Amino acid sequence: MKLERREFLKLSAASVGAMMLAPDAAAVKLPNPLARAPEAWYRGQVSTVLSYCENCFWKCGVRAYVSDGRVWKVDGYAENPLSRGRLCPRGQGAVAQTYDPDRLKRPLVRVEGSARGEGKYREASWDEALSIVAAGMLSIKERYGSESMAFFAHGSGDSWFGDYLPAAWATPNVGKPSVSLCTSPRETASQWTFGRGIGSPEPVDWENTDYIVLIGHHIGEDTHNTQLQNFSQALKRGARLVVVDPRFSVAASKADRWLPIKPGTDTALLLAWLNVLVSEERYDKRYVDANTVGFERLASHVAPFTPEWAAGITDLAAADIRAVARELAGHAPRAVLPPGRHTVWYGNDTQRMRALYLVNALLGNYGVPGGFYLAQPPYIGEYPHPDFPLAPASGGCGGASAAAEQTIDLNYRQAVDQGVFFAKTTAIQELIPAMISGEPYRVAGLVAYGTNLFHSIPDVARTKQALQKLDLYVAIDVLPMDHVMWADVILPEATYLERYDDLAEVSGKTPFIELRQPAVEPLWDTKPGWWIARELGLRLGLDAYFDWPDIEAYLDTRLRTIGSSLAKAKPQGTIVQGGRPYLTDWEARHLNPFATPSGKIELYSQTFADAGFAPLPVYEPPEEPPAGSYRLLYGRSPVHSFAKTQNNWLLMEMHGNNAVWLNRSEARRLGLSTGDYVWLENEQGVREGPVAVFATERLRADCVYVVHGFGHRAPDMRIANGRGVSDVALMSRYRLDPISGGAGMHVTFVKLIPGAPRPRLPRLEKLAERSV
Amino acid sequence: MEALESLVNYGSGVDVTSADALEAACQVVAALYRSPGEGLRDDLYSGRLGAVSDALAVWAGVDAPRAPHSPPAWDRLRAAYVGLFVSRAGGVPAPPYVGLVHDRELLGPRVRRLRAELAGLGIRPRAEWHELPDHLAAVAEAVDLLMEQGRVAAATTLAVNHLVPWFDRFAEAVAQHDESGFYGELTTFLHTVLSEVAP
Repeated sequence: MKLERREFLKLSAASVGAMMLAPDAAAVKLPNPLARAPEAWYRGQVSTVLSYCENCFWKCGVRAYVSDGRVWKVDGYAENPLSRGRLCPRGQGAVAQTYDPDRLKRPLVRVEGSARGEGKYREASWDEALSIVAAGMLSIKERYGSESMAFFAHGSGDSWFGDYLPAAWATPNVGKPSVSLCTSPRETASQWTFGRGIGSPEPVDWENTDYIVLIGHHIGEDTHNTQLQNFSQALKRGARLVVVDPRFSVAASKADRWLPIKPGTDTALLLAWLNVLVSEERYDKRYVDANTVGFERLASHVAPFTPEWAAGITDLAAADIRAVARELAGHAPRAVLPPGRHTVWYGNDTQRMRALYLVNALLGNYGVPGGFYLAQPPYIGEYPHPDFPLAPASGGCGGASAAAEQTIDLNYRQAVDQGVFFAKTTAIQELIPAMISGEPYRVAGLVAYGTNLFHSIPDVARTKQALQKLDLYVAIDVLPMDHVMWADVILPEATYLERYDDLAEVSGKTPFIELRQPAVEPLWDTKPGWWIARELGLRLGLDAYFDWPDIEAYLDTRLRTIGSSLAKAKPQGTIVQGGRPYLTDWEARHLNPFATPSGKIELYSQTFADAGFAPLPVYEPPEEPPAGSYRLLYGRSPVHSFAKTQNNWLLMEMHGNNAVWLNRSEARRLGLSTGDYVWLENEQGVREGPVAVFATERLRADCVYVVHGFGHRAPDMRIANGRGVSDVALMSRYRLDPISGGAGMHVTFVKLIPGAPRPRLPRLEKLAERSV
Repeated sequence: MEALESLVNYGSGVDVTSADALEAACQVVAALYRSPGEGLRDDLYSGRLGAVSDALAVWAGVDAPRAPHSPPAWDRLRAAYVGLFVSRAGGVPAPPYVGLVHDRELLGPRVRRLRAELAGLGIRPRAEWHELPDHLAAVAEAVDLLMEQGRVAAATTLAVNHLVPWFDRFAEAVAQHDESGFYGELTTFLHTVLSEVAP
């Protein structure tokens, strides 16, 4: 009788020999490992591998230190423009994710007969799992058409699952949370004002600016490595800073002037600044004459919007509004209003961002030192492949713009959002209703790559309802997040330290290309995204698009188009190219950087007018909170990335919970003190908490504030579970920006319900031990 | 005579040593905590696993577990395995990794040392082993192999140093989170047996 069927063990040749020569091997005495202190990894042989980080999306160049087949440390390297040798806590904490025992380990298939969300899975081989996915997709294509498959993608690997594979498969229904839940208003407004997007990193000429105005822009809290370095250097150099924010943010604490604006009235403030610049003739006339169209219409439009008008709306003093406008003009063109990243606030966000860009334009700072530089993508060739049936729909972080450039392919149906928005990428939240209603046509399948459906898309109940309606739901991820464990098939991806990805092409003052390469072999039976996409493509009959034998050949072919190669790029990590950052560089080459219909900066947008939208920014009053309720505002933690990192004990040691900020006078009125626990309840009766109160003078009295990403409700997520509240869980609705398709998310109102019990949670340091 | 046969004949005049029991227990551990495949299915539904468990129970003087004789449906068992040891929304309740307990991280110093010790004994993972080298089933296989080769001292030391010290916490976590009844009962039982054979 024998039970064993050995899978792990293999006798080495040496062992066999030893056995034959020394049958008394039982005498071998093993040392007791408990009796010895662990050896320090850095005393052994250490190699380094250059790559770029994935713990947020700044794409910092990193150096991974490897010893004995394990990554022990990650830091930045000086030659990379996005890290310059420095790395934030999230980047340095990435090692904890690679060696997180909770990682997805091998393909999983939902147990037949179990419901989505029940979390019952069996293991499967890659071949079986991919074959199930391919069969499901082909079935959907046969019954409903290829457009009935949707793809959601977030992170560097979205080049495979947001662009390459969907384009080869032929669906326009590709959504990215980084667009319509984040940047779409600023990108759309920039595209239709300057003819250029913003992208990442934001092309703000920090090195040369003397005056900075941040509007709801949380630098220092939404830590983007070199942006924060540049910002700090600018302040150290003596640049003046104005922060417009209902909350006294970290940036506000560094400011010369904090303007605690009433939430939702920013456009009124910007119109007033335009009014002062025009009426007091403080704008850059030469620049405006040479580079813009529509000034006269703008001047007429802003005439009524005096600082006194704005003061009554914004709760700011007219004198302060006027003073800032004059100071801006006094420092122009080395004065700048940088766009924030998360700009989906109230549903009229493209107009607000247009107003912000128009102030910049009147300061004459676009394409000028101290304002915005003209970012360019690096040059590199594609791997040759047949034309895709549909152009990739998702674009970059901002989404390739825009509506006027969209071509209607008569062979395929439009995206289910009907292509009405100016951001080219399909609005991710607008795909959800089509999954439920089947209108305008059925979306029957979804591949979600690295996208946390329940912590990013408002109206979680609606998202869950949509998932239940799908014929096929596939999740590709690193961790078993809540939404992942709803999928029919789960495909585990290797972490960024274990894989190649496509090259990162970063626009900048001097554009550059970054290589991602594996520092170690993938743990368990996980696979890189490129491999998953390719293997799936082959099973879908898309062989012609995946004719490269492996990723090394793919990358090498691309790199050779710029005279490099994979072998050369590996020790280099980053390849920096030349740029044309300023207007003078373009003029010298007789080139025009403004890719607008008029070829100039469009202060007045005829395109918007033709589409039925206001051609000049218009202020719309925000909805007011009902009596007894507060507007829910939210922001970021410098040591966390969205809802991705709350189970990382290294990072939770630094920031392990969120609290609800409440103005101190309001706290007194409600009988609450710092440290009291409350529930938060929205207008629809959704309740979150308990959460601790932070009574503070640092916030206006008409709103409350929480840090995004906390409030996980997963008992087995031992570190994250039960700590704080989720802002997204309270967002039962959003207000659609009709121009960009962005989902305005500052429209949630909550009440504070006192008397919540203090949660009994294990101490973080105990959980950090990760003991069984 | 192989350890398992000794065990199932235990009580009919066959002399069973602690080494036999350890070898048998490790065979059960390896079979049970590997990714459930046809091997386990065969052992389970043919009654072999039940017979060995019963024999181990007699040897240890404890009640035999019922689970091997009335196992859950195969799909349910596989789902329970995934939920306990592989992936679960938010976290695995009972990660089956030796080094994790001692180092508080994966692939830490303990695992490097274990790997070196196994290499010194002429044991290394197969290329197709898509698990970590300190997986519970791997360590159990190593002990079993050494026993089979007659290297009792090395096997016992390996078990005492790497398998037994954390099995109590592992068994407690499995018992607490297992909804199938299968893994919880068997893991508690194996903890009792291992405490007897390799204290």
